[in-house]
Amino acid sequence: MSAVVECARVAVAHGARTVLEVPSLAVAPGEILVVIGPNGAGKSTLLRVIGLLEAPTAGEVRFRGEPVTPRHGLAVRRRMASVFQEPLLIDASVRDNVALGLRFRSAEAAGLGPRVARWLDRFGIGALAARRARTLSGGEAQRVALARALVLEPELLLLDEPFAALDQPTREGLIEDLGAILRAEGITTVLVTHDRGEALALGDRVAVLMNGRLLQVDETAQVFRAPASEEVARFVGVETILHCPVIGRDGALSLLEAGPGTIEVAQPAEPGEWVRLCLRPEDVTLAAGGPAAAHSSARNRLPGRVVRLIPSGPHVRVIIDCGFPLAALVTHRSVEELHLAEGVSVTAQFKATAPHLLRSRKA
Amino acid sequence: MPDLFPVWLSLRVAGLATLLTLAIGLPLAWALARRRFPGRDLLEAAVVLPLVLPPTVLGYYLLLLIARRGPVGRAFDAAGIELAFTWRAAVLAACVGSIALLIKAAQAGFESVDERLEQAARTLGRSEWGIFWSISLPLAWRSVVAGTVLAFCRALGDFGITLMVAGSIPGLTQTLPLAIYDHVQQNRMAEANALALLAVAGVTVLLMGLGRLARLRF
Repeated sequence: MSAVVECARVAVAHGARTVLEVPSLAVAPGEILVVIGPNGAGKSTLLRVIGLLEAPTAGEVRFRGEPVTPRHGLAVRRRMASVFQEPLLIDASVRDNVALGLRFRSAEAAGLGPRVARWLDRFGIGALAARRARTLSGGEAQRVALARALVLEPELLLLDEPFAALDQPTREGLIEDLGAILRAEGITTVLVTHDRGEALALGDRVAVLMNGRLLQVDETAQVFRAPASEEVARFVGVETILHCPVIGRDGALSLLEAGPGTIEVAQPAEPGEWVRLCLRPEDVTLAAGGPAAAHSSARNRLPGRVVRLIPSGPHVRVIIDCGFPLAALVTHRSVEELHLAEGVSVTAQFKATAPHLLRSRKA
Repeated sequence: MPDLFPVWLSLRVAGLATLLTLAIGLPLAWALARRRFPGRDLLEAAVVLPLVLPPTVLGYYLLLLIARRGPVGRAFDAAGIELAFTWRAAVLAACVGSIALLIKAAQAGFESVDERLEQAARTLGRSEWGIFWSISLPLAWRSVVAGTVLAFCRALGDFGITLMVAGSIPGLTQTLPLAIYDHVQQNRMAEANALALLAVAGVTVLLMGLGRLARLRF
């Protein structure tokens, strides 16, 4: 299948500063590509370039294989739709707002009603059709903005941090509904966000953008499980990154020297090689007391002492000194049951398949 | 009682000059506010030149352009329209003298429009032309009107450029400021006084209206 939209050797410079450099990026029909990265990484610039709102300084954007530029972009732009962080509604009824894009295309007024109504219903805001847009809550307004975009039946949907301004429950409800709609309709989507949770919830593929460069483009699970670099690892939530030598091999297992002990990892590496071990805190479980007391199938059991407890939403982040700092994510309940507190001895356990090794030289 | 012809002539000249100023100035102001193009900085500087150059310099160059042998004058001459030393030249003079006021005000107005609104319309498939008329201009209208009123007042009062390119022919090209000068030269102070008062009163009323406009809220 040929790509819906493609960037080829795209670069954007603002003055002397290069803010974006994308050698190649293609979005396949029906897929949801989530571009994640910290603020200022160039995500919105990338989306503006794809959406033909900003011309790249170099390179080209191809829509369905044809090179396009903002200057002659109206016809192509009408095959896309965008939603931004702010709903940017006009001061009119919800119904009129959703019909706006269709009006701009001078669609026949007669056919508009049912199409608008259908999309209002899909976003669960059918009852609000006659309400004035300015009386809506943030979540409702963003649903209107999404309905306004999707009623256009775009070949490509561009979303720029559409959930960033919403409170947690509203955001989760909307992400769930939007994900279901996008998948049911097979709408090709590029979502830009700094929130890795949104990437996990919606992305078929994830592109990690930092300092204007794509560091990794891969299937969502792969990016989170096997980040391509330390920067990517930190951004996708890896908290323990340990630079350590490989001291042996046992079949498919690599043996690593980590502080006073060893760690087994189910990923090949050459003995003598130095690697970076990446471990997500949610892959680590804790047991009270020393390793002897622990009952677990996990290959790795490291004794340590709790250094800090950091409440983090529904979980608690536990920093353990195992000869090196190791982070674990546990529930508040576990904290109580294991009597976790600073200075308490625990055993950190994780499977050999949990860590991911970053190798400086590809074997 | 002074001859009121200069008053009507000035109103007509300033009115036409303002229309011309809008037609040329609005697109320029919008481009300066929203577009990046080569020569943009030069254009931005050039736009302010008429405010700071001596009117005689402006008049001199304008005269070179519109004289019968000048590049613009020749084209109009071929079409049977005379420019230099006619009321048309007075319109051009007033336009040159006042266009900077409109452009700077309108440019500031366009710049103050939230670009995201224009982008949203763009993503919904509005044409650039449609975006200008339905978003940029309506949201910048206060600045545009302010600039228009200032430009009109400035056009009413132009002296130097008009004198250079249109002369001061009573009954033909003698506008209000020129008539006042003429009366004073001939020591007809009563007439000069009447016209001067009229000018002050008229412009004051216009500027008061502008002040009111600035306080209007929608």
